[in-house]
Order: sequence, then C-alpha cells, then structure tokens
Amino acid sequence: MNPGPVLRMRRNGCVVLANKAAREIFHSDRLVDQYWYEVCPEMSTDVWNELTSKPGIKGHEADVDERCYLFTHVSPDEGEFCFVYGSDVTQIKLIERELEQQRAAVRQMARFPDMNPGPVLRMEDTGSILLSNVAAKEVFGEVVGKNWRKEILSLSDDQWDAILRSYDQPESVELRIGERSFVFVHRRETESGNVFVFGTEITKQKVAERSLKQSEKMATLGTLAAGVAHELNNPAAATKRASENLKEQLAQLEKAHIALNTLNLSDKERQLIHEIDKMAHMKSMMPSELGTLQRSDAEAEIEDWLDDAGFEDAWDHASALLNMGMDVDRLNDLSEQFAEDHFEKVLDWAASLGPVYELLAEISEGSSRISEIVIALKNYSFVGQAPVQEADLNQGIDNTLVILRSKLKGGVEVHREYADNIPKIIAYGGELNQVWTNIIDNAIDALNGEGNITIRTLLDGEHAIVEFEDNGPGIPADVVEKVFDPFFTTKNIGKGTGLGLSTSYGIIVEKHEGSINVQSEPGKTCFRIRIPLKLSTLNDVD
Amino acid sequence: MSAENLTQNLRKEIEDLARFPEMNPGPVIRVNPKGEVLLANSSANEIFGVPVLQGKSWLELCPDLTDELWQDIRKGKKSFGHEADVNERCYLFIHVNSDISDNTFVYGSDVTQIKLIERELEAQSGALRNGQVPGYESGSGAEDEKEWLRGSCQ
Repeated sequence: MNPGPVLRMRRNGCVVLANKAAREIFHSDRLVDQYWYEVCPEMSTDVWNELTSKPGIKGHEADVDERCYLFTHVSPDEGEFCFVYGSDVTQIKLIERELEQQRAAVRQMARFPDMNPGPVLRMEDTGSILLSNVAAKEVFGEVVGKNWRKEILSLSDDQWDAILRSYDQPESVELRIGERSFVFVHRRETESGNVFVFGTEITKQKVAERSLKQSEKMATLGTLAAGVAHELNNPAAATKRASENLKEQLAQLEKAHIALNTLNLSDKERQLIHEIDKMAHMKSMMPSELGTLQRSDAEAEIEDWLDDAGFEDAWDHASALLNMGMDVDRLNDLSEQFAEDHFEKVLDWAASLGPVYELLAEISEGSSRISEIVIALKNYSFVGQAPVQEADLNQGIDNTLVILRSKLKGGVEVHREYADNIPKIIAYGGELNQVWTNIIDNAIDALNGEGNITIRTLLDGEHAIVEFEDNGPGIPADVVEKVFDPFFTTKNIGKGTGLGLSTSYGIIVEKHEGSINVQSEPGKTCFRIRIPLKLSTLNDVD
Repeated sequence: MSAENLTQNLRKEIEDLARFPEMNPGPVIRVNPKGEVLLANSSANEIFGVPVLQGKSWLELCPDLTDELWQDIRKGKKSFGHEADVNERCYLFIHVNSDISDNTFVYGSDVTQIKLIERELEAQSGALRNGQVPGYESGSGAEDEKEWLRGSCQ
C-alpha cells in the first residue's frame, strides 16, 4: 500500500521484491533478480557496499526521469535482506536550488553597499543606524546603533524633518570631518520608512571652491583697482598736462608782466587791469557758453579787430582773449580807456594771464576729481570702519557707480531715481556695496555696450527697497531660478565664476535678513532688494 | 522554520538589499566580465536615457571606455575611476571588481560642478598670468581725459 517505491533485496543487492510504485518508476516489470546497484542511477557496487555494509539506515539520492528520489537503505542487524524505501524529493530539491540561487543573489546584492567606495548607511526614522558599509566605518568607526541625527551630524529638527520628507527629492547635508569634506545625500524609503544615506567625499571640490572664491576676490580686487586706476588716469593726465603747460605759460606771463611794469600806468588803467584780472579768473572757472561755430566766429572777429588795430600775434591772442570773456565791443571800450601806447602791452599781458587761470582751473578740477574718487573708494570699501555701521544707501550706490564708471562708458546710461527720505540704515555697508557692484556689473555685461540702467531707491515702512532695472535681452526663463545658485553662470569660462549673485544673496538674505528677487523678460530685467532699516541681529555668515 | 518561510525571509532580505542600489541617487551598475550590464538602478537608466540598461554593453554605453581600458579595469585589484561626459554632464564612474564574484560594480557620481570650477580656476590663472582684468581693456590712455568732466551717469 506504500505509495512510494519499496524494494527488498538480498545483501548482495539482488532484488527479491519490488512494489508497484517501484516498478512504475523504473518502467520495469522485471526488477526482481536484477541488482539494485545496476538499476539505481548514480549507484555502484562501492556505493552499495558503503550503504549496506554496516547495519543502519542510509540515504541515496538519484534522479529518475527528471524527478529526484531519496532512497533510504535499511540494513537490519541480522537476516539476509535489506530494504529500500524511496520518496519523491523533487519539490524539496527545487526549493533547495532556488534557495541556493537566492543566497547567491543575496551575496551579490549585499556587496552593493559594501563595494561602494563612499559611505553608505541605513537608519530608522529616529536616526538610529541599522547598517553601515566599510567606507562608513573607515570615516566614522563603528556606528551601528548610534544616532546619525544627534551623535554624528547634530542636525536641527528642521533639517531632520526635511530628511524625513525626502521620499522623492534627496536631501543633502555637508559635513567636514577633520580635513575631509563630505556630502551626505539622504533618501527616505516609502515602504520601510528607513532613511538611506549615500556619502561622497568632496574635499577636492571644497578646496577648488575655496580657491575659486579666493580667485574671485582677487579678480574683484583687480577689477576695482583697474576701474579706479582708469578713473584716476584721466584727471591725473589732465593735471599733469596742465601743470607742464603752466610752466611755459607762467614764463610768458612774467615776461608780459615785466613789460607792463615798464609802463607809467594811471590809476584808472591800474583799476581796469585789476578788473581784467578778475574777469579772467572768473571766466576760467565757468564752462564756455559758446558752441563750436559761435566760438569760431567770435575768435575770427577778435582776430580781425586785432589785425586792424595793428597788433602782433593776433591769431595767438584771439583765443585767449575770447576765453577770458573779451569781445569786439569790450576791446573797443578798453582801447578808448587805455593810452594808445599802453594798450598793446596790456593785451599781451591779458592774453598771457587767461591761459594761466584756465590751466590752474584744470589742475584744480583734476585734483578735486582725484580727491573725489579717493573718497568714493574709501567710502565704498568702508576702510577703517566697523563692519556694521550707519550707511547711506544712495551714497553707497553713487560710490559704486564711481568705481564702475570706466565700465559704464560708451552706450550705457545710468538713470538714478533716488528717494530722498531714506534714513541711514544700520548695515554691513561695505558688503552692500559689493551687492550693488555685482548687480550693476552684470547689468553692464548684459547690455553689451548699449542700453539703460535705472536705479531706484524707495522707503517702504521699516524697509528700504533698491531696484536695478536694465533694458537688456533678459534672463532666459529656464535660467532665472538658478541665478542665485553658487557657481551658476551663463558667462563663458573665464568671464564669470557664478559667485557674484550667490554672494549677493548671502549678504542680503542671510546677513541682513532681507530679500532679493529678480523678474526678467526680454527688454526688462529688474533685481529688487528689500532690506530692513536696522539689523535685528549680527549674522556672521560667510 | 519551514522551507517556504526560509525562502520568504531570503526574498525579503534580497528585496531589502536590492533597495540600496535603487535608493542610491547616483548611477549604480553591475557588469559581468564581458561588459554586459546585469543590473542598473533607475538613476543609471535615466542618465543614459535608456528605459532598461540591463543586457546592454557597458563598453558601448560609457564614453571613452575602450576594450583595453576595460581589460585593465578587470585586472585591477583596486577601484578604477573613469571620467566621461554623458548628456552634457560629467560623471566619475568608479569601477570596483567584486570580491566574491567576477562581476564589476560601477558607482557614478556627477562631477560636473568640480569640472566647471577647475576650468574656471584654470581660465582665471591663465588670465592672471597674462595680466588681464575682466571687463577692462588694456592700454587705455588719456585720449578721453575730458570724459571724466562729464561723467556718464545722469
């Protein structure tokens, strides 16, 4: 009745009885009198002897017709027969094979985290670490069981909440460990709620970033130095040229003065000479009201008058006399008031005096301009002042424009629409100027040599607002959201580091707790900055 | 524990471990010695713009990965980094030969940022070596020395 194969055989392996199941499995009605070690697959006399030489129960597995059987051999202590009971273990074998394949797959999959060259961790939603790979152990030591959030990263509640929301969007945290820097990307798994952490060493990147920031500072310094040098160059060159000409002109004046002193001048003539002196002085400080054509005509009239009067050097004198406010009527008037033999020497003197005053005025203007630039530079950089102090927004922007003036030449025009009711604000003044510089500099680049920049300031309750608007081509829509990202730039390599607006964002938002945003469309880009009039806290953000 | 339970537990373990490559935000790939991709996570599929990388040739997918280089990677005992541009981003693919099989694991990370920074630094160093200052033309003289009297701001 046994559903499985059952056989009885002599000790030498000769089958003496086989049930129906055995006969069916081996497809043989003549199993009796056959030797079992010849019938059973994977069996031999040696195996048979091994199985039956000693009393006991031993198993032998064999595949028969694509099924696997376990033949249990029972050798009694005594008697001339052995017994074989077979059972179909195909299903168990299949499961075992699948298990082995799965074990192999597990071993392969288990290598993924461990073969990862960067730290990999898995943790519960409390931060308790469940698993860490070799690289993580190398960085942190044994951390399984420790709390990632509290003991390793010291994350705030807000940061951890963000990580727990990181189902779709990974959340990154940077960490410096000794001299090494890492970024740990956190991702929470929906099913288990566990947080997976994948670390990458970014030491090299951080070193490069610091180098680039340093390089950016040097480049900015270079830009400012070049701008200031360029601005100083023009008044300095004009002053130098004027002072060189002045030497020559003073020699001529001295000569004319000596000639004038040889004359026996009346009191009235001396008074007139004094008036001419005053007029020359005054005119040298005023811009000419004459256009080019008018001036040319007026000079020609004076030259003709001098020629007609028989004066030498008429051509030379005409321009100088015109510059000091002379015209034909005045010359006629003066000629009647001076003795005939005095007048030529008086005009020689006057023609020498006018250029002296003009040159002195140019030197004065040049040195004033130089002084103005130096003051602007000093105010711009807040040299020798505390980082936080009272700052005049309008003046700060003006100082910035002075520094950037040489870049503004050409077709770029700046329109200033300043509110006059903005009080001095308490701020990091030097850093605000850095913001204005970055934004104006970008606007100049965007305009590519032609266009308008409008700068507005206005008061809005406890805040000041500064707007920089340009009519350049605008920022593409797919780019506008990234403009404040560090290292984001649309400029070519070597033309911009992409740090300017990121730094500006840090200064306005993090240091001043203000806001900065940009709206852009072709022909109109506007950066709007809102800063509190008074800093609530000192924010030392790098 | 029954065989069925054991299988289920192992399946669960496989699933748990299989999540590591899948949860990795960077590309993760397993390749056999011939270079055939055996497993790739979603990030890898996305980066290469292919629905399923499995079955494809890593040597054909990864730019500049020559057969010679692949043989060197296979022979190597240490990890091997190979930089390649994929869809306008630069990736560092670190190849690690498995310690328990003849497969190779590939872990990618996006290094575009650092490449840009390096190029920018190189450009800036070059500019500084040449004495250039961004935004300013060299050789400006006093030809417009009267310009400063007028200024350009209104």
